[in-house]
Amino acid sequence: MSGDANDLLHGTLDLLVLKTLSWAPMHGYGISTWIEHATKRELDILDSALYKALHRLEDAGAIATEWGTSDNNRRAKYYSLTPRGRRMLRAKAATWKSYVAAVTGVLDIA
Amino acid sequence: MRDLSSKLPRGVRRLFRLSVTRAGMLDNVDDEMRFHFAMRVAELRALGMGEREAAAEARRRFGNVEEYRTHSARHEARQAHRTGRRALMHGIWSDVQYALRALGRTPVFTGAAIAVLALGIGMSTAMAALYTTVFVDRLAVAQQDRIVIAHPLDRRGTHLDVPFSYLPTIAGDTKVVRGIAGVYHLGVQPVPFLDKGVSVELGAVTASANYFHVLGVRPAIGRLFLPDDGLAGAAPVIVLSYRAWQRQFGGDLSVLGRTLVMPYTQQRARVVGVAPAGFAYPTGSDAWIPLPADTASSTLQVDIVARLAPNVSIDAARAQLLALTQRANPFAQALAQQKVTANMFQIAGVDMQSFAYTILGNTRPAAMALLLASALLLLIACVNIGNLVLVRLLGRATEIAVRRAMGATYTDIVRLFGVEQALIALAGGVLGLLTALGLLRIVSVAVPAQLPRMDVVSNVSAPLGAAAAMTLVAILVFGVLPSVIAARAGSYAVLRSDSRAGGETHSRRRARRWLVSTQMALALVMLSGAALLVRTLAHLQSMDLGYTPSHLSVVEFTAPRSDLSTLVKMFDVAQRLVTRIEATPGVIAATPIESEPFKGQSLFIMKLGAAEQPESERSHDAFVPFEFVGPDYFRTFETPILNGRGFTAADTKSSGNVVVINESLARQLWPNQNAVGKQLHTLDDTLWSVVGVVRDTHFRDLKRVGPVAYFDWQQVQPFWNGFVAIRTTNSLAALLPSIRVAAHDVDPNLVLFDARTMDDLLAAPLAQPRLSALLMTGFGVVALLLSAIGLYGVMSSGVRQQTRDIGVRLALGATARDVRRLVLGDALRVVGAGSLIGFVGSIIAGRVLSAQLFGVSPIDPVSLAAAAGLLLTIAAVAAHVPARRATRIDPAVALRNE
Repeated sequence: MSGDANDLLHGTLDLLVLKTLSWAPMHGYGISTWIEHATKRELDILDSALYKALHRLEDAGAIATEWGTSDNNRRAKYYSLTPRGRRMLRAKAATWKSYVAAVTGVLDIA
Repeated sequence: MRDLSSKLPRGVRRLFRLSVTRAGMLDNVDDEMRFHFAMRVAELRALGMGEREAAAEARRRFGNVEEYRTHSARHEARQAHRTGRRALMHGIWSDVQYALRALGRTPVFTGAAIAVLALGIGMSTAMAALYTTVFVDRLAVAQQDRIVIAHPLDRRGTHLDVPFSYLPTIAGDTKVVRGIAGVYHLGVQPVPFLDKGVSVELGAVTASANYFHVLGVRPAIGRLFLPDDGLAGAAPVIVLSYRAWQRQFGGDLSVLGRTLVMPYTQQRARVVGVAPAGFAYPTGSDAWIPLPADTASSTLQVDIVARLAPNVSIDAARAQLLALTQRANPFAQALAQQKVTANMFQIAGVDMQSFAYTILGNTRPAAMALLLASALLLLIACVNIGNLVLVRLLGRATEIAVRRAMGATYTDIVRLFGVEQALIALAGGVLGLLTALGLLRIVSVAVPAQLPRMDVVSNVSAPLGAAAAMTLVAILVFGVLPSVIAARAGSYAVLRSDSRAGGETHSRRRARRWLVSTQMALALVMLSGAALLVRTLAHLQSMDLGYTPSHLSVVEFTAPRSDLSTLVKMFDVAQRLVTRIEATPGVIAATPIESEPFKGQSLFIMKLGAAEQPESERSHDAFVPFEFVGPDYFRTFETPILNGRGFTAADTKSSGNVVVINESLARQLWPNQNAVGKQLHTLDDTLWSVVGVVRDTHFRDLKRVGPVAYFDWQQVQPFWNGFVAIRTTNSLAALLPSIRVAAHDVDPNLVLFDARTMDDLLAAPLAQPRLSALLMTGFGVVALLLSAIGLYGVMSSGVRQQTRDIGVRLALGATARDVRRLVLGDALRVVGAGSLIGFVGSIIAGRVLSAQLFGVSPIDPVSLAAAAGLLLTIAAVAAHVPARRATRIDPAVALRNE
């Protein structure tokens, strides 16, 4: 996979994670299932890639972590959006939409 | 893989701050993964998968576990590092917050400390910046230590300026000099040049064409003089000073190639370049014009500017030049025309000074004294605040002890207090820098250009480095030291049963009292120095000048040279002009004079001697400053005639030659005799009868009087330089229009060029004494305030410590007066010791300042008494507050508290 494609993929995954966390704090497994549902399993995302994305976003200061208790009373690590993450989501979403519109425009010409 | 500690419960590990190992860090990752797998497997099984199948599917969906763990370990390490750094930043921030709160609780202390520091740092930074710029920075010439300014001297030490044509003779002596240039001896002369019809007044200097080459000056823009500029008939050029370029031409590059016109002579000069910033020799120069090597200028007298050959010392060069002038007399040519023997112009010595000395010479000691004073001031400020800080910190002994007991280390305490002091120093440093900038601004605006190198003062950049260095010193002296002492003292103070909070050992208290005494001594030294300088200034301003400066003015006229081409015509114009001016209402008297005041005693001089002395002694004749004056000269200046008479209208070319001399000349020529009726002879063997003796005047030189011979200009009919002195009934300004009209009536081309009152003219020689007095007084007052604060501090803490003793005394029947006397007596011992040291210091300081003093003895009882009186008064006020507090101690409360 070329670096550019990698970046594109990373960017997409980050955007999905940020969007997921914009509703409420969630643990890693929760994020994974939520994305599966939301994308109707159209995207085959490895769980390790998702967790790496979470680490990447934590390094970037977009999300914060906290250990908490899950619905079934198990200890779980919860991820939540920081104010910086919220700003990042807005920016990335806008970029993504214009990107998609541009590409779609090109494809529709044919 | 896991070590023992990682098996412990997480909470326990955190509680005991056991290190989080790499394996330990992965615990969190593994926990999270375990949770994830459990959830995923449960989900898959709910969909109907078997146990094993579900586990395999969960692993497949996860991806490479080992690769993920490696990745996670790196991530965790990054996070741990970040957390650690955040904690450190948080620690510092909380220290700062704590310090701010602590300082906020004592706003008076904090404010005073910051203000005192700002003053100390500001003053010393400004002085250091000034001193560096003026004295340390290189002058804008190449190898300045090789350049000398030289004057041959006659027997009496009068400076003689050699003819321009003599320079090649010296240049031939190549063993000593590498280059020799000349500056026209009248120095800087204001000329109202016209630049495209707009008048621009520039202080112009005429110098030989090799002037800049000899000095090794490089142009800021354009070029300086070229050898061809000095050839007879060369196109006239002019070089501007950097300051004039900036101020009068706005730093406009298009100034190059412009033509400046001298309005009265209609001479034109093309601007070819600008000299570098910081080069303005002679002091006050705005522009330089090359001296043409033609016959007319060969007899012009010049100051010698020479570049010495390498390895030739100034002493050796001086000896060589003296030998040369004795071998080949500089005046031989001129003398040949006047039919007198060279023997009469014997050169007795040579005055040769380095370039730097010539420019800065006599101001350096004063500046050095001021710099030293400002450094002392900063030191006092730091010591003083250190003292206050120490008292404050010792007052927090309980806090220190509690903190130590709670596990704070010694370093923690020092850091805690150090941060407080550093904050004060930082605020003081920032304010100090602003103060310094303000002071520099005031100096560059308020100080006239007559002081050397004031042209570069306005270019001083913000002295950030100096301010930072001084702040750092301040932090060390008053921040860290007291914190260390307090932390050490405080850690066991409370544990001693007999000690009270804020207690000091006897020896430390004594040390603090000595510190205050030292401050008092330094304050006294500065105050008495300031008093000496103020008295010098007062003396200079109020002394009997030998003439009355108020309502006296000097005006200058000029006219196109062609118009006054002949001496006869010029004299006629001048005579009619002075007569017209005297007839103007509001003018009491007027007289032509040779030059403006304060030009020194080396210009406009002639050789003369007593007529009766034998021919053989004529070579001993002195050079004496002369004045060619009108009949109303002494009335105009209100100079008292001590003996005989002044000039009258009856003294004309056809009547007998008369001369009026001053006291000094009378004493010099005829000691202990009545000079009136004697005769003196001038170089051309003319005899002049002395008809009057007048008071010595401070006109040539503000500080020194010397011999002067006054000749009646109607008898001499000399070259007139255009100066007229006028005594008016009221202000000069009101009369200027009618004087202008008078000049126009006499000759339409005659123009009033410059008019200044004597008070304005006096400002120039008073500039430096005024600045010195002002600065030293400022330093003295600040030092006094600082030492008063110090005294107040030491007395206050003394009273606080003696509360019990005073309480006992009051309980045993002592009156408030007794208590006050006790405290004030104690203060008097501190102040007395300081004053004694200060007296000794003041005497030494007087010696150091002696070159700056005038009319005041270096050991001046009045100055010392005034300084000591002021010191004692302020000290009494400072000690009075704690003394009063002591009288209000309630014995019952004081004893109960102990």
